[in-house]
Amino acid sequence: MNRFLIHFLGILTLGLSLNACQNAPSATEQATQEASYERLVSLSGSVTELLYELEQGDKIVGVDVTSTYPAEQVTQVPKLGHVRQLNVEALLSLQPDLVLAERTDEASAALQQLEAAGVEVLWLDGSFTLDKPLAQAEQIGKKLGLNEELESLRKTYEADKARLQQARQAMEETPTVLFIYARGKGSLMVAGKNTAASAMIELAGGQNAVQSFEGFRALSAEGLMEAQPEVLLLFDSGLQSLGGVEGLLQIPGLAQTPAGQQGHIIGMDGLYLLGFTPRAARAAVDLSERLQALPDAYTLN
Amino acid sequence: MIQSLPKYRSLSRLLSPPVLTLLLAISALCALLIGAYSLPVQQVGLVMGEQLFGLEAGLPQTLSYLVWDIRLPRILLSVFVGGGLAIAGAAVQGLFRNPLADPALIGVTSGAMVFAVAGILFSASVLGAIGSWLGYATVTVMAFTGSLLTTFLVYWLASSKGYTSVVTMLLAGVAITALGGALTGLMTYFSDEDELRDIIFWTLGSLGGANWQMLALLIPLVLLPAFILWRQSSQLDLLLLGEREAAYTGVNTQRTKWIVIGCAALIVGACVAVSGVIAFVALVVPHLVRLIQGPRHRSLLLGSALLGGLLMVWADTAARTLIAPAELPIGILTALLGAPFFIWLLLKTKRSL
Repeated sequence: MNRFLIHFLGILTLGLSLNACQNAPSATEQATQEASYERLVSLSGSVTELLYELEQGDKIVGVDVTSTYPAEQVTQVPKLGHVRQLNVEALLSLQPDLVLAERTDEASAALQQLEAAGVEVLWLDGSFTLDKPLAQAEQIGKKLGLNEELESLRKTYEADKARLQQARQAMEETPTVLFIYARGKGSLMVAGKNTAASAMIELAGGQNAVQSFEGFRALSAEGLMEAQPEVLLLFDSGLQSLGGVEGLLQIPGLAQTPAGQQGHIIGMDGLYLLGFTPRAARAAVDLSERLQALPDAYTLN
Repeated sequence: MIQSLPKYRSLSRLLSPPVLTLLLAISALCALLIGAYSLPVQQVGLVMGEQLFGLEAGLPQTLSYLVWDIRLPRILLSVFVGGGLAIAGAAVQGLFRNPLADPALIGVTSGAMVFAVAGILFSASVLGAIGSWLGYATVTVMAFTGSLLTTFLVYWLASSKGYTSVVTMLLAGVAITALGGALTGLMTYFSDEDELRDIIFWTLGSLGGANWQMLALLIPLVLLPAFILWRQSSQLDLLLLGEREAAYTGVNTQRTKWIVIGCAALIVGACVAVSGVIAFVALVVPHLVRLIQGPRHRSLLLGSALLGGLLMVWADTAARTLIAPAELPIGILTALLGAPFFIWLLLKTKRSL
């Protein structure tokens, strides 16, 4: 046994020293490479969108599960799962030179490991305001040295904001809107103050139907009656999970609200509506226009 | 099940502790070489040489971090979590003289879950200062505290006048587990999207967060109680005869109960705290070992620990490579493999009895 062990160790050390000689040059070569960012990983749907808008799409080597837009391009990119359940090693195997993540995920153990492994992480500050996409674009632009792209993005975005201004001026009244976050019939939440949904509703010229609490709460029939929303706003996926408009109206209390009675129900894509992506101003215009055109937005039957 | 089945005699020799130890070491080495990041064997060897013997290989920081700070801690963590869960399971099954007993049944897991979910929900608000001081270790510390508190609650419920009824303990465990489930459900109901994600991921189990500090805390919390459990082997053997019979042969049954429950709670609490809920290892592995090596606790406990670690190393290797670059929750994997295996085991023993 002992002799075997000695032989084994001998072979092992021989192998190791041989390889040490082979590998030393390549390692130093890697170290002397200059720092330009050619391989990006984005861990947020809105950041991914920004990268495409800034024409950096071809540098993206991995995205998280919330990155769904632009659909055709982003499906070609390896998916890393959810930002709270990252496989650090697999992420490293994509050899990114810059990982872009939302500041809110800074506490993630996986991301801290990533930083410790020597991968640069750019933390992007977020908020539920129209300025967020531009502010994040500036952070990214500064990091990657993009000037023209940033300028053209800013122009498009300012134009969208101007359109939003017009759309809001065209609005005659301020409808009360209730955002319902649905994950099937058994799980319905409504958005209170200080949520992305509430911010978006107000940007579009509506008023959040819930003013009594912050954050999300479970929906209750009596709470619905009390809120008296004139419009119901959902994600397309949420509306689907309930079986469409008909399924939604079967929820106790919903059919009794003004929104339910008039069929004022709006469904929009989740990332588009609440991601505060570079399309945020457009989404707000969209929502604003649909709020004005309400009786036609979705009608019963 | 008391006697080792003759047809497994040869298997028994094959899976003796030295062989299992060797297999475990080989598995850990293989796992070190396998990963989403494809690394040649020699690079892994170089990193190990660098870290262990101070060789100067001049490898990029990312590579040595990958092997030394990501892969290796994760493998060691799977060895200790798998081994810990299995040895705790074997001891608890022996104490309860019930093959269905699982540390989850005495409330350890559900207590950990309630506290972990509370940690996820309230780490920012209610826990305030403590939460920000502990950072992302909040959930771990909370889960460990929760598992210990619940176990002692169950133990206290089953004790009166210096005597602890094993049956009452099992029933109290079931009741507390139900209560824990309800509390967890309640908190889940009021959680927002991000919190819900965290809760779900936690209940599915993962060894992804492994690091050296975590190991430094976990290893003593597993090794020490495991050693104490192992020293209780002959008492556990005698307990198999029945509690009264064991007492007549001179076993201090009350003391044994206390030691086994306390040690199992420490081990499982620590494992669950670092990895979330990992199903079936504590239940299935001791069964397998008992089937092959017979019910003597000296070999059963040791065999369970080794086999548990062995299986967990491979399960985690699968979890981190099967659907790379994403990651499969390990709790799903162990349940997916464990449940059918357990059914097969049931059918097999039914036929041979």
